Amino acid sequence: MLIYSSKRLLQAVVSIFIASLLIFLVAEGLPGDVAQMVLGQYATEESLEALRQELGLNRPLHVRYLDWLNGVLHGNFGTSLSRSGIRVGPLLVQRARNSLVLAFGALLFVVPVSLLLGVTAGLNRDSWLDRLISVTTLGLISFPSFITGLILILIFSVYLGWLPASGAIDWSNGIFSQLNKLILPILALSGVMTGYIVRHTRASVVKVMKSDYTRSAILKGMNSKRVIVNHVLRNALLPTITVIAINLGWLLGGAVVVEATFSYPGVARLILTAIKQRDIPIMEAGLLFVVAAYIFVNLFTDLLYSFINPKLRYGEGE
Amino acid sequence: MAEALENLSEQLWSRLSFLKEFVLRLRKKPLAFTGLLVLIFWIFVSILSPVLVPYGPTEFSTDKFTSPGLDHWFGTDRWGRDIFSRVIAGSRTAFILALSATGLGLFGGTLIGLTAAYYEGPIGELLGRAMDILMAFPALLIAMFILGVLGPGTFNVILVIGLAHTPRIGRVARSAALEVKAQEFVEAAKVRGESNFYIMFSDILPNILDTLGVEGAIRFAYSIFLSASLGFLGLGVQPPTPDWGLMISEARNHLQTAPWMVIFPALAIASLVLAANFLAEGIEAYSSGDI
Repeated sequence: MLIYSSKRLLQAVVSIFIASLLIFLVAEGLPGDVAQMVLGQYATEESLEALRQELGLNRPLHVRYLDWLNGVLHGNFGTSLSRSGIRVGPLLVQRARNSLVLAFGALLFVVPVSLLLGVTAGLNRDSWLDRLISVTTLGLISFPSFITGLILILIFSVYLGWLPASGAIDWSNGIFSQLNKLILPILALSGVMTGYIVRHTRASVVKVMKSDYTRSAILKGMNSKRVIVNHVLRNALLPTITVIAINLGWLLGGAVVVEATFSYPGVARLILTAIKQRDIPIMEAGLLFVVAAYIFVNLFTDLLYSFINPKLRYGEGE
Repeated sequence: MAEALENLSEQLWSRLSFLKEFVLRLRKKPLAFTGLLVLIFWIFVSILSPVLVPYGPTEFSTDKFTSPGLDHWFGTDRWGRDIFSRVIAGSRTAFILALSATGLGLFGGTLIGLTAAYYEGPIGELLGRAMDILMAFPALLIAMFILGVLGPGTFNVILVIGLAHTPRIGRVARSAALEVKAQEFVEAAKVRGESNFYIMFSDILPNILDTLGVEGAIRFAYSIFLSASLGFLGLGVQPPTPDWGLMISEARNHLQTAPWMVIFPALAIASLVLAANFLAEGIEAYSSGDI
C-alpha cells in the first residue's frame, strides 16, 4: 500500500512537470512572436522591443522555462500583463476559492441525486422508470451547459423572477446572503455530470445484478434488501468512485462555459479572459492550476479506491 | 503495402452491405432509429441549406428583434437577420466542423492507438503514458488555450477539436487493438512473415472498426458540443458566420426581450447532439449483438 501510494504520488508529480512543460511550450514556444501576440499586429518595432526587454523574451526558451518554473515552485506566478501591476498568484487563489465553492456545491447536489437515480434505474432494469431515467440522462449529456444555463435563466430569472441571473458573488458581503446566486450556476454545472454518473452507476448495478454471487445470494434465500445492500451496492458503487473523479476533471473544465454564462468570477473565466486579452502569465498559471488540481483529484480517488478495494489493498491487483 | 490497402478497402466494402442490415435491426431500438432519422434530416438540411434559406443568413434588415411569425418563422436578431435562415445555414458550419474534427481525431487516434498496441514495450508504454497525460487536460480547456495562441477561425477550430479527440480515441483504439492482437490469426500472420504494416492495417484495423464506429459517433456528438461551446465563448468561428454557438452567445444579452434568439439555435444543437448520442447507443447495441 505504501509502495503503491508513493509510486502514484511520484507519477502525479512527474505528470504535472510534463504538463507545465507542455503549457509553457504552447504558450511561448510555438512559432510566432509573443510580444506581437500581446501588443497586436499594429505595434511599432520600438514598443515590441521594449516589451521583449521587459519580459525577458530575448533569452533562450529553456532559460525562460526554468525561470518560470522556479518562480512557480516558490509560489511566484509573475505579474499580469493586462491588469497592470496585479500579481497573478493572489488573483488565482481568490478565483480558485470561488471555483471550489461552485464545484463543491455541484458535487453535493450531483453525487446523491445521480447515485439514487442510477441505482433505481439499475435495480428496475428495462422498466418504464429505467427507460425514463436513461432517456433523461442522455438528454442531460446532450445539452451543453450554456444552453442548460440560459434555459434556467429564462425560466427562473426572466419569467419567474425567483433567482438572480448573475452569479457574480462578492466575498466581502458575506457568502450566506448570496447563496441564491449559486443555485442556477450549480444546477447548470450539474446537468452533464449527473447524466454521466447516472449512466455509469446504472451500468455497474446491472452488471453486478447479473453476476453469479448475486444470483446465488438470491437463490440461497437471502432477503432481497440484504442482497441489495451487501452485494449489489457494495460492488457496484466501487467503480463509480472513479467515474466521479473523472467527472471532477470535467467540472473544472466544463466550468468555463457555466462561469461565462453566469459571469461567475472563477478560475475558468479568469483563463478565458486572459486568453482573449493575451495575458500569458495568467493563462499559464490558470491552466497549470486546473491540470494540477485534476491530477491530484485523480490521485486522491485512486488511493481512496485502493484503500476501499481489498484486492488492491493487499497488493493482489495493480 | 498495396495489398494491405486492397484488403482494407475490400473489408470496408463488405461493411457497407452490413449497413442495410444495421438499419433494419436498428428499428428494434426506436430511440436509436429516431436518432438516425434526425441525423439524416440534418445532413439533408446542411447539404441543401443554400436552397432552403428564405433570406441571406448574413443579410441585415430593418426588421430588428421581430418575434417569430409568418415572415420570419424563428424571428430576427438585433441586426434584423432571419434566425430561421441562420439556423439552417448554421447546420452546414456545424457539420463541416464536426465531421472534419472527428475525421482528424479518428485518423490520428487510430494511428497512435494501433502503433501503441502493436509495439508493446517501450514505444507502446511511452505512447500510452503520453495519451494519459494529454487526457489530464480537460478537452475544452486545451481547445481554448491552443485557439488563444493560434487565433480563432474555422480551420483552427477543426484542428484543435481534432487534437482534443486524439488521445481519447487513441486509448480506445489501443485497448481494442490489444484484444485483437492477442488472437491467433495475428500470430499466424506473423508466422507467415507478413509485414508489420500489413498486420496492423489489414488484420487488426478491420476488426476494431465497430469500436471505432461507436467512438466516432460519440466524438461527432462531442465535436458539435465543443464547437458550439467555443462559439459561445467567442473563440470559435467568428462573426458573421452563421454558427449556433455564436448565435446563442449573441443572444445572451437579449434574453429578456428576444428569447427566440436563444431557443431555436439551442434546439438545433440539442437535437443534433442527442441524435448522435442515441445513434451511438444503437451502434453499440448492434456491435455487441444486443439487437
